[in-house]
Amino acid sequence: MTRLGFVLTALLAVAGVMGPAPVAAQDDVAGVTGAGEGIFSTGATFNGVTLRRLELGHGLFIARDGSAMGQFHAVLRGTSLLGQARDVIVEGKVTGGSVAGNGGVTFSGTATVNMGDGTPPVPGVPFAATVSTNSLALILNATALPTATVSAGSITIE
Amino acid sequence: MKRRLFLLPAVRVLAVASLGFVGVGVRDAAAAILVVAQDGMATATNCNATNPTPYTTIGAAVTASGSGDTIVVCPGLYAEQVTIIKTLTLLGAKAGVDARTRAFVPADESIIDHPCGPVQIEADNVVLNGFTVQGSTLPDPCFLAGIWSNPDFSGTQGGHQILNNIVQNNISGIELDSTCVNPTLVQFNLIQNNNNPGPGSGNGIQTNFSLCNATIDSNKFSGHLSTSMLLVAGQSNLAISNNELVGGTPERIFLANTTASSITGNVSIGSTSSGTIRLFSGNSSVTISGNSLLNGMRGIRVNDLDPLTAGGNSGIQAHFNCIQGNSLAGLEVAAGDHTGILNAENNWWGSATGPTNPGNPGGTGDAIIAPDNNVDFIPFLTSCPAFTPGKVTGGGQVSVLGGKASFGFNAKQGSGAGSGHLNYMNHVTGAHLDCTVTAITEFTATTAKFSGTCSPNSSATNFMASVEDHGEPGKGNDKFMITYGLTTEGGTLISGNIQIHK
Repeated sequence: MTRLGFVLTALLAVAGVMGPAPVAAQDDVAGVTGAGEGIFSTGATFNGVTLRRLELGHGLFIARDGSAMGQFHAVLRGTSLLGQARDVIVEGKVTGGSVAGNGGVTFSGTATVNMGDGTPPVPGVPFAATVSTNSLALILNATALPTATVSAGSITIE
Repeated sequence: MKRRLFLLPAVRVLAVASLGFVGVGVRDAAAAILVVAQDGMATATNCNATNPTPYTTIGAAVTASGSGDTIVVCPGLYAEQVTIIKTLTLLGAKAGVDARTRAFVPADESIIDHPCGPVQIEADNVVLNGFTVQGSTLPDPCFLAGIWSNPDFSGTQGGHQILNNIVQNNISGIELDSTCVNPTLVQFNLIQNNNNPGPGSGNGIQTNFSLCNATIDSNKFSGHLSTSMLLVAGQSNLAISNNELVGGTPERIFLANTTASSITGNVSIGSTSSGTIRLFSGNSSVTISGNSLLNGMRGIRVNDLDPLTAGGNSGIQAHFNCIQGNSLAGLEVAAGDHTGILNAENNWWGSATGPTNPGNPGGTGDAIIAPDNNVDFIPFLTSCPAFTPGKVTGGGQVSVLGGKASFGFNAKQGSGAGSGHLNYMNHVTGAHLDCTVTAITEFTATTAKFSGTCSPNSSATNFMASVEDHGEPGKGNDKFMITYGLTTEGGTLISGNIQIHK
């Protein structure tokens, strides 16, 4: 091999090493999944809807650099000011996350929120969720909801 | 009775249109279309129509038909024995709809249910497409199978096409026999729980006569207590491909007396049988390639326990299979049961070090047990060709019978079979899954299939999920289907999203 050929080969080899890592090669610090139901303590409200329960479903990976990928989904179930049943649907894309010292995790991103009142869904709503294996605390558009306790199903943090 | 809105699957409309249908029971020179509806009102393209049809049973339409005709069967429970003695195309309510992934809603199905055997095929080139076939419970002289065929018995040549059917809760699922003259096809069927007591109980597909020139492709087998396919009567020119064998029961492919055949692209995770692909005796020139044989007892077993026929296998080859996590062996060839070298080059044995075998010092993968030292396994693969680096995540809800269910999962694949977690809850039944992902068996830009084992507090011991990512939004586009225990449910997302990250 010529010297130039050697140099090119070496550069290509280095580029191969230094190039973008495959997705699966990223160093995840946590995987979070959940599906089930939760109960809000009294006094939980969001945009005039009194919340009683929620249905949750989420799956995501949190990387060591604080980025995250995955989905967060919640149906916040309650009643409107007029006493009508109302489901607020939150469909979130998770983009960041971290692991807390107590074993819980926090993840965040933006969500599309459908108030369930006939108005168009609102995209780009910031959210953050802190979860443990038996609870979920949601901050939605700067409104911090009371922590919901998981009453059925499960949340897994690995 | 209130009639249900029933939209004909496109395949039925196309099939009917191609035959130049002009009215119920109208026969042209080539073929006629006969319509069966239990309330006596329907057309070939609309089961809600008020046009009268003279056929309220399938048997009546078969009797009135001529060879080459098509019989369209509207949804309903047809408690009758359908014996097909002419070349006919029978289109159920779910013709053209893949039975492996459709939700089983009895009111939407054309269900043939009979204890003495629901369907007997006794003519050439019969097509049975889009039915549920169930309820075989009675022993001889009944037919013992949901769908029964035997060309030798009827003096015909076979060539049937069994497509898009749910075959369930029979003694055995399909008695599949055919001569070599006409190609036989079994495809896109869900064959499950055929365990009623009787001869042949617990087998999804079996042969008792002979089978030749047949393709068994892209079917799903689940819940059988004996085998997925018990093909032992004498077979040749078989293609067994792309079938899914759901774990947790002894789902397996069992061959004896089979020549010039292939077993390709099948997926089994967690079979409890003694060998996921089991070659008994009398097999020759059988190629096993591209299969994923994961987490069972033995991936491939060549072992004839019958002393009268021992040693009858030869020319078996196995290549490019992903064999991993099998507790006893990836491949076992019993002493004296394969003549000559069994070529097993270029397989993945669950470790880059290769299989555990005295001929491969340092190998830590699934074992190759061959007392006759007659397996050629070098070179071996250092990764599974089916393993594609990437991740898939999802969270949302799907409709289930009577309400909805929530899911959340993450799964990834690198150099191993797969890892991750899945949580699921059916808000109607309360069924709940808390499961570890142990294998991703399909991973494309838009689809993924993964499976695993569940914690003791779950409603099942294992699961298999199939997801689709069709961009944004996930609602109305992406799909989530799950099988756990004997339940399969899910479909298009009603909210949430699924993303494949590759």
